[in-house]
Amino acid sequence: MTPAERIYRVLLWLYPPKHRHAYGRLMLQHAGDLSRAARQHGRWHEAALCLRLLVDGIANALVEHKEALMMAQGSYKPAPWLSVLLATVPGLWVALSRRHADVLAPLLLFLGGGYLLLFAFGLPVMWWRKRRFPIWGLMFAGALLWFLTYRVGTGLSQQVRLPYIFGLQLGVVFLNIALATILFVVLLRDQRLPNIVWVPVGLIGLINVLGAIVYGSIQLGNGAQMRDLLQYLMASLALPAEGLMFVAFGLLAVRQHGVLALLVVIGGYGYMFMDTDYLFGYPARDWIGLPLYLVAVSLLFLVLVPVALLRAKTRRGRALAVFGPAVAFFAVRLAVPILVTRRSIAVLRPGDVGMSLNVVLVLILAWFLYNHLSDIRFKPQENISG
Amino acid sequence: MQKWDCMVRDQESNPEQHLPLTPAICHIMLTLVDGEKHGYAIMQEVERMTEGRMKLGPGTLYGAIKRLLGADLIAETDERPDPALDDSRRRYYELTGFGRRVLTAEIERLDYLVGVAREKELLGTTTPG
Repeated sequence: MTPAERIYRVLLWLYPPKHRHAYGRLMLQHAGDLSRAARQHGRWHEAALCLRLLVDGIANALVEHKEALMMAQGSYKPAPWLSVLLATVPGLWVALSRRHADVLAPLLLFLGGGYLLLFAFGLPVMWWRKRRFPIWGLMFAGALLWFLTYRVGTGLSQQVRLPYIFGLQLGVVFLNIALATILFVVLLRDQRLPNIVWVPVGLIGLINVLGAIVYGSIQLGNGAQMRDLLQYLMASLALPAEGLMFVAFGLLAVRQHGVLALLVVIGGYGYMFMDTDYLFGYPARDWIGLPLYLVAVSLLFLVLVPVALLRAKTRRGRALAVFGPAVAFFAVRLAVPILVTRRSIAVLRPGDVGMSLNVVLVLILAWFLYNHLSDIRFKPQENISG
Repeated sequence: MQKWDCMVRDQESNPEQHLPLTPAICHIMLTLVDGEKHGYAIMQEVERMTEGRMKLGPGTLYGAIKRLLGADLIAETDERPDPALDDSRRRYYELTGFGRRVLTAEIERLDYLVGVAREKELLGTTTPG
């Protein structure tokens, strides 16, 4: 190996791994060819070549890193403001209904009104004109999925007289697990998902089960009964199953909308904002700031996230749009009740911690899956003009 | 897939979208007009064409090749011009139909600029050769 080749072999490590794997061997071969040609003209030529290769290697490594960074960030066209406005209607509807903290289940409000009419009539028109499922329907689709599975699951429980145990509708839990499994298996069979998807899915399940065991053991020490431990274990199945169902359903929209399919997951979790107990679990209904708190967290999750996600121009912007408000929401959701009621964090209900953790894990899974599938299907256009 | 297909169609119908080409890209594409070549042969041809003024190092050459492949202006070919002299480790590249249209559009653009420069007497009015 010539000195020039040795230098270039080291320089190759400055390049992004993808570029190095694709062209490293060819670049090294090229450096060797140049070196052998220069050697015929003497040592000085070879030394000059080494210097030239050094500059070439470093300068182009910087160019490749810059390009890799731009490719990783992606570049997206923001959704039109009309679509953004329509997409935020379900969230605005819920947020405004939250000004009355005692209204526990404004489901009809959520599904009702002008948006439902707009959706019912606007969707066929949109499909007829563009043959595309509209962006503004994604959140609604997620909310509708939760609503239907909840109603069907509850009905199933009543029909076959499944016991309503541990605070959970077994019919809903079974339906969530069945739907998530069927959707994932179908997508895997059609090779629309990599097999490795079972690793993060299994990891989410494992985190939940371990969390339930740890939390249950602590509570057993504090006087809880075995029945409570079973309840935590049951919840550790129910929460991820529900989230995975949203993720799997969102996968159906990835082909058309890429990472924006996250709105299906966000919309699916919209039900949390219809129940004060989900947002503020402690009995502090007389707290004067409660309506404002409920409206604020609803706007944060159901309005700010879709607006920011739909208007973001880069991948980093989209990540911030989803995870910024989501993490802020869950921090506030855990911190505010503790501060208001002045109780210890140790007496937090398991559902509060478990649900916050699951929503974040599920959003992370959806982010990586949807991005991976978008990258495969929508290869960014490379620009070679100077 | 529809979105990507549309993008490809738009790209193909618009060679101007890729203009202007960088000098290195333009020279590399010019070397491939005569037929497929491997990386080192491309570099030698560019050096010959520019009378030694442009020397493509490995980083510049393969960075440009990567971008040309990504934009479907060139393609890798399995054909070997001379199997007896061939090094099996080398990769050969050829100009695609779309690449040829882009290159033609770039040369026409440069030709127009040269014409304007001649009109303004920045260059001699006689044509070489």
